[in-house]
Amino acid sequence: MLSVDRESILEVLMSLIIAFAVGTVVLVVLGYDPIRVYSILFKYGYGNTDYLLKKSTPLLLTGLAFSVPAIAGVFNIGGESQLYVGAITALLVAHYTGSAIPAVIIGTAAGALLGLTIAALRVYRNINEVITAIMLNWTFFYFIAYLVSAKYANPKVPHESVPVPPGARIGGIFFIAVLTALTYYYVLHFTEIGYKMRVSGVSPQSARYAGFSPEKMVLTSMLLGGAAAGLGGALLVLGATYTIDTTLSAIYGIGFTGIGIGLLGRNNPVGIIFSSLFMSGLIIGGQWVELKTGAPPELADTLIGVIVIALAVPYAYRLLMKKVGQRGSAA
Amino acid sequence: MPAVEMEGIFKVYPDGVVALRGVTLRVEEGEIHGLLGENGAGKSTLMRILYGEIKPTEGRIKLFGREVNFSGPWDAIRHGVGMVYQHFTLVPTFTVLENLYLALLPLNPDITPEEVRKLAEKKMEETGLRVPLGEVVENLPIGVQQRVEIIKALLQNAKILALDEPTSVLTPIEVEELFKTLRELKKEGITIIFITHKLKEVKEITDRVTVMRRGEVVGTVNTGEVSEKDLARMMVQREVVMSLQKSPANPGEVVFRVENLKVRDEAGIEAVKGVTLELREGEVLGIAGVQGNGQRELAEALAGIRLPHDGRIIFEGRDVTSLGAAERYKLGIAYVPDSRKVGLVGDMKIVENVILTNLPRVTSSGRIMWDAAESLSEEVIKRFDVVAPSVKAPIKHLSGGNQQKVMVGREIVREPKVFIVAEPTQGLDIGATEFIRRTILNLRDSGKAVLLISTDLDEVLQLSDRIAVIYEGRIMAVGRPEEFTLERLGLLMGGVDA
Amino acid sequence: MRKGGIALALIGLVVMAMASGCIGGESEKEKVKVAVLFDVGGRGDLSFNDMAYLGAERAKEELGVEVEYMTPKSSEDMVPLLKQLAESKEYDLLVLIGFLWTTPLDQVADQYPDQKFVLIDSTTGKTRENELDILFREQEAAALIGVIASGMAYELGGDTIGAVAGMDIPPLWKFHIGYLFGAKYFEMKTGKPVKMIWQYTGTFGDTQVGYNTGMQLLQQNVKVIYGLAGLTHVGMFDAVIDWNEQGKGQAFAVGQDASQEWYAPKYIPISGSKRVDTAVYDAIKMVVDGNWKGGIMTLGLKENGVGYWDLDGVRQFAEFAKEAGKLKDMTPDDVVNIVKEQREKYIKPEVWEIVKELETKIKNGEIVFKTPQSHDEYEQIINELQKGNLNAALEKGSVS
Repeated sequence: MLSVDRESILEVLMSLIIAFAVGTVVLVVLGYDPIRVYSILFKYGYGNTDYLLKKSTPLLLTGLAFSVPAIAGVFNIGGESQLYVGAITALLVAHYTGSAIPAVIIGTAAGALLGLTIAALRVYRNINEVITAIMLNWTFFYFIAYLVSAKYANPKVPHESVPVPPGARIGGIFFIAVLTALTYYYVLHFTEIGYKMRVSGVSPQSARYAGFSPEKMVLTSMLLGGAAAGLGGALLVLGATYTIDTTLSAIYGIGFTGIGIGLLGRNNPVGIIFSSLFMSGLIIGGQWVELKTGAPPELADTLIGVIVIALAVPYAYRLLMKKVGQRGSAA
Repeated sequence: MPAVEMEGIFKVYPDGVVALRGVTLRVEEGEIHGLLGENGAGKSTLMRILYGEIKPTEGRIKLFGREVNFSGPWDAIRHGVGMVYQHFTLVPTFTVLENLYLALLPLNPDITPEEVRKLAEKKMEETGLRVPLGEVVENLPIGVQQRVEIIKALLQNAKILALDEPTSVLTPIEVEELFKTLRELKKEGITIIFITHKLKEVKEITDRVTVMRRGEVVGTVNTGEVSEKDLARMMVQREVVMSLQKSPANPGEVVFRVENLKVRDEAGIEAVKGVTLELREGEVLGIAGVQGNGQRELAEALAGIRLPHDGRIIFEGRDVTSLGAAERYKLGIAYVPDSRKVGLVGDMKIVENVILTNLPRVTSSGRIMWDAAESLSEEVIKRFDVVAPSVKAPIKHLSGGNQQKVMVGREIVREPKVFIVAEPTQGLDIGATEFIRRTILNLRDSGKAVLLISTDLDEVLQLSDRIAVIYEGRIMAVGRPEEFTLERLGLLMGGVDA
Repeated sequence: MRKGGIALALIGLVVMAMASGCIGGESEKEKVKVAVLFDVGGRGDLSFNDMAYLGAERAKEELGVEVEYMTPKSSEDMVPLLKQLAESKEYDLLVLIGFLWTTPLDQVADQYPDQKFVLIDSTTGKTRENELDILFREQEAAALIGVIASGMAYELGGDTIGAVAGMDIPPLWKFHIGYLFGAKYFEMKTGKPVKMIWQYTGTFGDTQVGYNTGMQLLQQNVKVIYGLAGLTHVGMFDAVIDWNEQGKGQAFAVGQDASQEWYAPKYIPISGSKRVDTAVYDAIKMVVDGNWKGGIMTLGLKENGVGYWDLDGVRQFAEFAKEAGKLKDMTPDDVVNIVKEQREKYIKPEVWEIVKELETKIKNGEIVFKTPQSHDEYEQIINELQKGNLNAALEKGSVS
C-alpha cells in the first residue's frame, strides 16, 4: 500500500521553498544575514545526533497523539496533559519499583486512560473534546506541579522531583518512538480497526452505513493517541530528564508542539517521524542562533513559526475545507 | 394587477442541467397561489429565483407591474418578497425577539430591540399570529418556529410570501393552524405562494394553482374548477418509455417481511408510521413517492442503520429487527443508499471503498488482506464495467456513473438475497442509468429479491413487478403496475386515497 | 495521505544533508570568551535574567571580554547544550543562571575538567575545581527589609508586616529567617511590637494566586507585604495597588531581586536586591584576572551581593521597564522622584539608623546568619525567633 504521490511531494517542496523564502525576508528586514542564520540553524540543529534524537522522541509521540485521533475525526489538543500524566506516573513507578518496564507500561496506560476519558465525555456526554482537553491540560499542569514540589520533591534538590533511580534509566528512546510510529502506521493501514478509524474520520455517515460505529472509533483513536503521548512522557523522564522540575519546564509545551508536528507530517505516522526530527532540529538550532548571532531568541521562534505555518497551512486548510464541505452537504 | 409576473424564465446550470424551460408564472395580488409538482419539476428553483438567491439564465420578473432584477435575497426582501423554507433560518439559541431584531437590523441599523418588540406586538395584534417573544427558539415546537419565520417576513414588510413545502414538517393540528394563519394573512392583503406536492392541501387552501412538470408549466387553473384527479393527471402526465426489455417476473418465496414498522427521524418525529411489506424472491418491489415521505428512514431501518421503535423485520423466517447493519449484511441483505456521499468515502481509493461493506471477506483475524481486497475490486471493475485507471485511484476522480457502479457492484458481488436500493440512477447520464437498471433487472432474474425505492416515477414504472406508494410514512397502496393509472399514482403520491 | 510522509522524509534528508554540508568554524583565541546561559524563559523578565545580562555587559565593557548569550528551550535541553558547549572548547567560562541548571551541571561538570562553569544562585553540593557556585546570603538583605518594613508599618498606622512567598524551598527559608529577624530586631530596638504573617503560595508563576494571597494579608491588617514569589508576587503588587486606590486603606509592597519600584512607585517604595549582575561580573573577573577558584562562594551585604536598591538602581530598572514598554504614563525620572519622596516620608531617620547599625554589624562580620540545612532546623529557628530569641538565627555573634 506504500506509494508515492507526486502532488504531495510537490506541495511539501513548494511549502518548504516558500517557508524559507519568507524566513529570508523576515531576516533581511530585521537586519540579519540570512545565510549565516540558516547555516547556524542547520549546522547546530542537526549536528548533534544524540541530542536531536532525544529531543525528537516526545515530540514524535505527541505528534502521533494528535494525528491518530485526527484521522478518526477527533481534535486531540490534550496531548499536553496526556504526556504529563505519562511522565509523572512513569517517574513515580520508577521511583518505587526501581525498574523501567513497569514505568513505561503504566505511563503509557495513564496517557491512554486520559485520552479515553476525553473521548468518552464527547461520545457519551456530548462534551466538546477541545474544551475538555484544554481544561484538563491546566488541571494536570497544576496537579503535577503540586505533586512535584510538595509530595515528591527531591530533598537534596528541592526544585526537582525525586529522580528516576539509575536502574530505571533507559537509552534508545527514539527507537521506541519510531517503533511506535511504525506500529501505528501498520494499525492504520493494514488492520480492520485502522481502516474503520480512517473511514470514520473522513465520513462518519459512511461508517454508520457500513455498520460500524464512528463513536467507537473515536474512543479507540483517543486511546491510541493518549497512549502515544503517555509513552512520550514516560520516555522523556526515563531516558532524558530523569526528573521533573517544579516549573515543569521539561514537560510543558511538548503536546502543543506535537500538533504542529502532526500536521507537518500530514497526519501520517511515518511522516511524523521525519517532521519531528525536522522540527526538533529547528528548535535546537534556534538556541544556537541566539548564541552565535546575538539575535534575540524570539527571532528563531519567529523563523520556526513561519516555516511551520508555511508547511502546515496548505494541509490544515484542506482539512478544514473538507470539514466545511461535509457540513455544507449534510445540511 | 398581478403581484408577481415571471415571464419566460430559463435556468441552465453551469454543468448543462436545464432546470427551467421558459416558465411563466402570474400570481394575482391577495390570492393564495399553489405551485404543484413532483420532485425536480423546478418549483424550488423558480422560487429561489424569485427570492434573488439565484439568477435566471433568461427571463423577466415583475413585481406589481415593475420590472425588478435582484442582486440577492436582501434586495428581494427590500422589494417585499418574503420566503419561508422547510429548514428555518433562525438562530436556535437566541430568543424569538433576538431573532427578529437580527432580521430587522440590516434594514434599519438604528432600530432597538424595544422597538422591534413593539412592532412585533403590533403585527401579532393585526394578524392574530402569536409567538412568545421571550422564548428561546430551540425550545419551541416546529410549528411555532415556522410562525416566527412568517412573522419575521411580515416585519420585513413582505407583501409576497412564498412558503416552500410548509406542511412537510408539521403535525396535522399545526397544519390546520397554519392554514388559518394563511387565510388571515390573505385578508390582510398579503399575496401567498404555496409550494407543495400534496393535492389535498392544494384543494383546501389555494385559490389558483400552477402545475409544473420537468421544468415547464403544465397550466394554471382555478382550484375550484378542477378535481384532485385533474391535478394528479397534470402533475404526472407522461409517456412512459419502455426502453428496457423485461421478462415476466417469476416470484418465489417471501424472503423479507416488514410488519407494522415505525421509525423516527433525527428530530425524533415519526417518519415511518407503520409500514407492512412483503418481498419475494425474483421480484422488484418499487416504492414510489415524493421525496421526504419517510423513504430514507424506511430504507435505513431495513438495512439496520436506524433502529425502528416498533414493528418487526423478518428475513428468511428469522427476526432481524434487533440486528445491526453489519450483521444483516452478513446474513445476505444488501443496501445501496440514496446518496453517494453516504455510500462512498470520496477521499479513499476504489479498493478502500469496495471493502467498506465487504470487510468480512477481506479480513483475517483483524488484518486486512489487501491482495484479496484488490482482486475483489478488480472483479467489481470488470463485472460492472467501471472505467477507472486502477483500483488504487481515489474514488472521487471517477464519474458519478462509475461511482454508482462501484457502489452497486460491491453489493452484488456479495450475492445478497435481498437487495435494497434507493435512488439508484439519480444524477446519472443515460448510459449509466440504463446499465444500472439492467443490472437490477438481471439481479431479479437470477432470483434475488429487490426493493427499489425511488422518487423517479419512470424508474419505478419501468423496473417494478409490484409498486407500493408511500405518503407521509404510510403505504397508500400496493399493486401490480397494471393496477395503477398515472392519474391514480399521482393522487396516491399526493396523499389522496384512490 | 500516507504519501505525504514519504515526501517529508525526502525533504528531511535533504535538509540534513544541507546541514552537515555547511559545517565550518573559525577560532580566534585571544580575548576571554564567555557564554551566559539564561534560565528557561530568558531575557525580558526585568529580574534575574536581565540582571545577569547587565553584569555580563558590564564585564564586556570594563574587562574587554567577549560575551554570547543563549536561552535553553526547556530543562531537557540543558544537558546536551552544556556538553556541546564544553566540547567546543570555545568558551573560557560558562555562566549558568538559575537553579534549573543545578542537576544538568552536576551531570556534566566532571566530564569536562578543563571547562569552567559558574552556577548562579544554586549549588550542586559538590566541590569541583572547574565549578564555582555563587550563592547569596539572602538573610542579610531580608533582615534590613524586615526593619524597614516594620518602620513603614508603623508610619502607616499599623503593626503587622507580611510576605507572599513562593515555594517552601531553602532560598525562601533564608528569606523567612532574615525577614523575621529584622522585624524582631526593630521590636527590640524601638520597643514597638511587630507581627509578621508569612504566606507560601506554592508557585512562582501565578499572578492570580498572588493577588488573592495579597488581599488576604491586607484584610488581616498587614501594612507592608514583601514579595518573594517571582511572578506570583506581581499579583500581590496589584492587590496592594487596588487596596490603596479603592480607598480600603493604606499599605505598601516591597519587591525583591530586581528593583521593582517602577511597577507602582507610590506603593512600592523599596525593593530588596539580589545582585545577580554582581555575581556574573565577579565570576568573569576571576577568569580575566586569573584567580579562578572552584567551590562555593557566597555574596552578602559586604560584597554588594544583596541589600536594597538605591535610587540609581531604581532608575536603571525604570529605564529597562521603559524600553520594554512596561512603564506606562511615567518617565524613569518620575519613578525616581516618587520613590525618593515616599522613602523620605515613610522611612524615618530613626529607622534608617537602626538599618545602618545592623548593616554595619553584618558587614563587619560581627554577626553571621545561619543557613538551615533541613526543614526541621528552619522551623526551629522560626519558632525561636517568634519567641523573641534573636540569637537563634545567628551562626556567629549575638545581638542584644
